[in-house]
Amino acid sequence: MIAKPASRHKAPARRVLSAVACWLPLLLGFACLLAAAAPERARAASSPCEQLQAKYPQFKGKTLVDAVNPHTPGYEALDPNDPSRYVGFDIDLAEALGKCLGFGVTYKPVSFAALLPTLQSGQADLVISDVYATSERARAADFITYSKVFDGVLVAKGNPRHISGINTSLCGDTAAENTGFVEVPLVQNLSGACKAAGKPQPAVQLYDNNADCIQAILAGRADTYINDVNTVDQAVKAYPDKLGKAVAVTLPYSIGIAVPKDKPQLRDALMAALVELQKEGKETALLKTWSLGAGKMESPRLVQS
Amino acid sequence: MALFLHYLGLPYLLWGITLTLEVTGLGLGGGLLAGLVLAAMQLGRVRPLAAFARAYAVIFRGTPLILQMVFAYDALPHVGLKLSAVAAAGLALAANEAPFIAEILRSGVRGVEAGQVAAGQALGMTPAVLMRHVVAPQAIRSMVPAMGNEAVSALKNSSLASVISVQELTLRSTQLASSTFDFFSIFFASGVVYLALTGAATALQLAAEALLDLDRPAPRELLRRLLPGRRVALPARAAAGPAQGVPEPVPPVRSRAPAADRPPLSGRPLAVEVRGLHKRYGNQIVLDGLDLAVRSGEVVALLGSSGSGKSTLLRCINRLEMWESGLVRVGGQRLDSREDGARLSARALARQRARVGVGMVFQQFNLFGHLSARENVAGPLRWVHGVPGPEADRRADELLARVGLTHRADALPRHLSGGQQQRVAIARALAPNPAVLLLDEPTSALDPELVAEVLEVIRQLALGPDHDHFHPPAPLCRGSGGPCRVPQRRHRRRGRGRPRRADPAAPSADGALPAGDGRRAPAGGRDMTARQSFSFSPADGVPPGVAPFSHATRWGDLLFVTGQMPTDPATGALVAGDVVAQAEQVRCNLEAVLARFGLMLDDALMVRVYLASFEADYAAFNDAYAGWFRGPLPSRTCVGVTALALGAAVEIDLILGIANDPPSSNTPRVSA
Repeated sequence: MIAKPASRHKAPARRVLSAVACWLPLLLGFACLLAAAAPERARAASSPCEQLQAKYPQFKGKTLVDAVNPHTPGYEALDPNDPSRYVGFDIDLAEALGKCLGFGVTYKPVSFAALLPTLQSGQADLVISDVYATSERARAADFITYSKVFDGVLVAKGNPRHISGINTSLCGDTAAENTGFVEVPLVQNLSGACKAAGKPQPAVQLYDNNADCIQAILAGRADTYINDVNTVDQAVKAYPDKLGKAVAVTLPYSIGIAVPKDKPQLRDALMAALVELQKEGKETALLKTWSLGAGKMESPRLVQS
Repeated sequence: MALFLHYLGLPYLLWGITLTLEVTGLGLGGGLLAGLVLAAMQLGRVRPLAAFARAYAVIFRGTPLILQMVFAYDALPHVGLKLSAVAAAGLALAANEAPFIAEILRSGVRGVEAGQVAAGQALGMTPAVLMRHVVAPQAIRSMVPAMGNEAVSALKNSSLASVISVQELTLRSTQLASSTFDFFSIFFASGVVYLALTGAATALQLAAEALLDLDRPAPRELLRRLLPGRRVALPARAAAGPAQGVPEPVPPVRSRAPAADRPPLSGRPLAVEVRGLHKRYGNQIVLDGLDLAVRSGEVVALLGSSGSGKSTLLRCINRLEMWESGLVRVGGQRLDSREDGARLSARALARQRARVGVGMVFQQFNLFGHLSARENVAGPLRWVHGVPGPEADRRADELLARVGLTHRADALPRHLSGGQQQRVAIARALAPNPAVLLLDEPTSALDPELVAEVLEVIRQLALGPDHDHFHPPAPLCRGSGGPCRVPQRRHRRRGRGRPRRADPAAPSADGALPAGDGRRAPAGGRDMTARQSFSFSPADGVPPGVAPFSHATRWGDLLFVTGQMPTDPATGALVAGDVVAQAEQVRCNLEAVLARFGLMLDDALMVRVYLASFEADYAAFNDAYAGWFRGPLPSRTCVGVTALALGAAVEIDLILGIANDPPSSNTPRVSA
């Protein structure tokens, strides 16, 4: 998308001309957005990320606040070995984006339901916290998708209730979910189907974080917890004698980075940086590092309303 | 267990304590400040402010703290107020604590006895001095347990800051539990930390209670000294030991003219002047056009049935009560407003009281409960009159010695008997050398056996042999039902020139006045404690059909009689039909009473009569009384018949000054 640096084979005398020729479209492209300073910086840039930093200089050297719901090991959680920091795919992704655009990141832990209100109130600049980019949520923020959604169905070991997904097998069962999760309406919408089948309706218990939902199953209060498959896998790994994954389901959603609606520059910059990271294979590497499955990667697209 | 201990010692969790304490501190500190403002608004007299404070309490006490936290964090930025998470949590917690703390403050302030506040006002304390030295020290003591509750509650409530991303103990615990799945170990550890914190808060509360405990032995004065209103006892005077009943001359704070230079009573300025005083409580008229004039040096007793307005009159005189119309001057000065009619502020009123010098002794003593006897006397001297500490203590010790309480100078009021408390109260009222002393039923709350000691003190203060050193104020005593308790020699000294026969039952007349104004010089030998008291029943020589006076007490020269006019039990109306007949009944009674003391009516030098609710012709009644005295001296008449109130039971009480000068005395004439 951006002009490549000048060829190494050309003689110094022509290099200047060539460089001018190469930079000209770029300059024209930037002209409407950036004034005089841009060409100087652009000339020094060599990598795509440096070019982005030149294009969006307002983020360089800044520290952005990333609101997270750090109860999702694999995506975002405390480092059990060093609880003073957060680790996970979303954290690494935020750091990589920051590195590309030249900003640092601090994290603000809030409950899942408070993620978008925190962003809207200006207490955070972005949210990268395993949030599914639904059209309803897009009314509160703009989303840049970065991953497909695969859900897992967490059940007690041996799946005593024979749950096979978000379907009528849930009728009469109780699902633990976090407040604001997309799975909540999906389970609730089964009522009609259950009624038609002459079965009792499924119930939903609402909690504030994954740990509470997992505890609900361990305590026998809930029969299942349906959430991102990685979260489910982590839970099974932690309680191999008590929990099991019934099945994985695909949901028609993508996971996205939420940015305030009134900051289109930030949205564009993050989108461009994400494209670059994917192009460089960094997101794939991160997915692999956190055992999330490389197949989850999704080309960035905007979800707005 | 190992995991539990691991998490208990985990620095990450322990660091959460600092944020927990930070939020708690902001919440409690801010809550205390806001609570003070709210409590002041509610206790104040500005209605819109009180309404605002009430509305605030309804809103912030009536909504969950978690909503307030989210509001402070997520909603305020929309109006341009973007606080940090800790500040937002502190703000929400403070806003939530404020109404609770305000209620604690309010109940603490209200818990301080109204009588102590009235006593402070009567002593001329400004509202600020009263708050600082009387109300606050006692209110704070009573508020400590409730404040301890609030501290523990705030500490636990700070965990709700976790919903707005404050990395305090709870948020750290839940996050750690999510990442490690060691759910229970972490929450047990976190619970133990909370227990330690709340335990520390409880320990602080108990320590504060112990330190502020007034009954604690003296060495632990540290915190008490930090609180206003209590000073360390001076060691020097306390060692004097029990010097019961050996009054010593007390130099006055303000220098006054020596007795010899003072003009005779009739020429003295008016100490109290009441003209046309109207006072009502709602529809109840208490004082209906009352007139009263008391000269400096005079002693006046008010008698009347319960509810006839005696106390109200006293409270009007030093303006503890406001009245509808009429004029009250004390020492020639008005207390209800400035001379130009402008309203006095509470502060200016206090100054004026202190300047005019109106001392008051209350039925319920009203000593400041947190102060020792010495401090009760010395404190107001320092705070109101600016007397230096050592001098105030010296005067307090002297006055306490005078009322025979040197050995109890360091005792708290609660450790004193009722009689002792009242003696301290009298010393306190006298300390600033008031021009007028109001005694509001000073003995009616006392056990009968304690009455004598207080009367003796009053008597000695009023009649003490040291006129040259100690100027007795002009006490106004009110008594209800019982015998009036203020003896006054001076009344009698109004100089009837006629020699009177000695009274065999009474102690011999006392010391003479100083030569300077024609009075006998102090001669000693007067038995101030001599007292005779009788109760009367219909069998006591009262003519048939006449109800007797119920009680009479003689103090030296003075005879106090109280009783009711006979009324028809069916109608409550007076039995006797007309004023003259009533006066005649009173006279019959009186003669029967006098006979018991070996006296005759002609011995009475002066009669002062107060009628409660006497809806008759006062002038006629006065004439009837005057008719009792058939002698050549027209001034020997009833000097006052005053209606105190309408609607109360009819009652007549008398004070008689009995002349019992030895026939040999040199007929001193003070002037009349």
